[in-house]
Amino acid sequence: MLSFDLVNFICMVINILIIFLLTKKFLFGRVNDIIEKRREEISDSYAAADKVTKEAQQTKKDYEYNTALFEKEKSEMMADARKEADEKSTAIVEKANADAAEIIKNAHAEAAYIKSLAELDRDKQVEEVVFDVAARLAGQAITEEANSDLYDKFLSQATGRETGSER
Amino acid sequence: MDLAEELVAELEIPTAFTIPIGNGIAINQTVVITWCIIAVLFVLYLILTHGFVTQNPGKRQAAVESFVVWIQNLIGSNLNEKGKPYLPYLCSILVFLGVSNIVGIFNVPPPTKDLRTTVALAVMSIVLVQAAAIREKKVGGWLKGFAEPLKVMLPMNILELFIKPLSLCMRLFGNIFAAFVIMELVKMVVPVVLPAALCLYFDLFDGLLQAYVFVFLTSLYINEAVE
Repeated sequence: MLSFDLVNFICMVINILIIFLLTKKFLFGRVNDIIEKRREEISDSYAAADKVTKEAQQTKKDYEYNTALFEKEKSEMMADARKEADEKSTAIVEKANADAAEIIKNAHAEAAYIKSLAELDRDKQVEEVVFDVAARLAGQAITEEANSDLYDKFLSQATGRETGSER
Repeated sequence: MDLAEELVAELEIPTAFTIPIGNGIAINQTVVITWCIIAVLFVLYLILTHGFVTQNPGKRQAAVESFVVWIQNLIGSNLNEKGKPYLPYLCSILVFLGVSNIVGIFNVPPPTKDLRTTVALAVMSIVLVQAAAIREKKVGGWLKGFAEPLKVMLPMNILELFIKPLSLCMRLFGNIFAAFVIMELVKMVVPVVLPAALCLYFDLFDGLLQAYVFVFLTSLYINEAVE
């Protein structure tokens, strides 16, 4: 009942050691391994999620940066285009003004020329009248009355012509 | 055969077989039962831990994981940080003692009813405790520890080296032995109904409780040794 022998004692020690090794390897070892693997997978998932989040944030930052850059470039291009358009329009207006001024100047010159031509023509007509009158005077006897009539006629012709040219 | 003789006969550990070497090496029933327990546990481990996955574990895996984590937390909470490396041994002993103490339910004599088993467990536990102390404090520190806190305590501390395993093994052996004796007596007096009810207490509750007490005390000794 309470006997004790070394052989069976040693057998029990070996048995306990075997149980310890089997339990450690096949129960606690396997379960702890799977728990550790799960923990690693969860850590990896968290790390991957963090990475994706960081990438998304970076992409968003890049997008915002590019958008800002694009807006800036757009503003600059718009400003340049507006400036260029202003310059072109100013040049066109200036050219138009210059052309208009030139045309006006030419018109004035032409008008002056026509006027001078008209004056020449009038002088020529006056000369013709004078010649005509002189020719008539040369052909008729000169009296006081005839002289006066001729004079009036000449004046009326001259006046009539001037009034006509003014009209 | 009177009651006392009948009881003594029940408590005898019969020889299972003899190895024919020299005068013959007698292997008793306890060793063979322990082999059977080892075989059953090994097969159970293989079945229970087969096909473990990290994602979407089944009910079997969830139950096994919960059990293992629960046992590790139960024993681990008694150990300090330096004692954690000895957790697998303590958990294994708890599983073995738990199974050994409750095999009585299946009408199998519990291995812990045999003094050799409890002595083997106690000796191994104390060897582990002293090994932990030597590993932590080195041989010099371990030897000096016997003269602490006062030199006059040296004989007491040396005695404690033998008292601790003795108390461990006797407590376990005494409880299981007493439970077995009581159950045999009850079976002799009231063969039906009452033994079934008492079996739940002595074989199941008391068996598991004594397993926990053994492991708990060993963890306390380890803590003390590695401090």
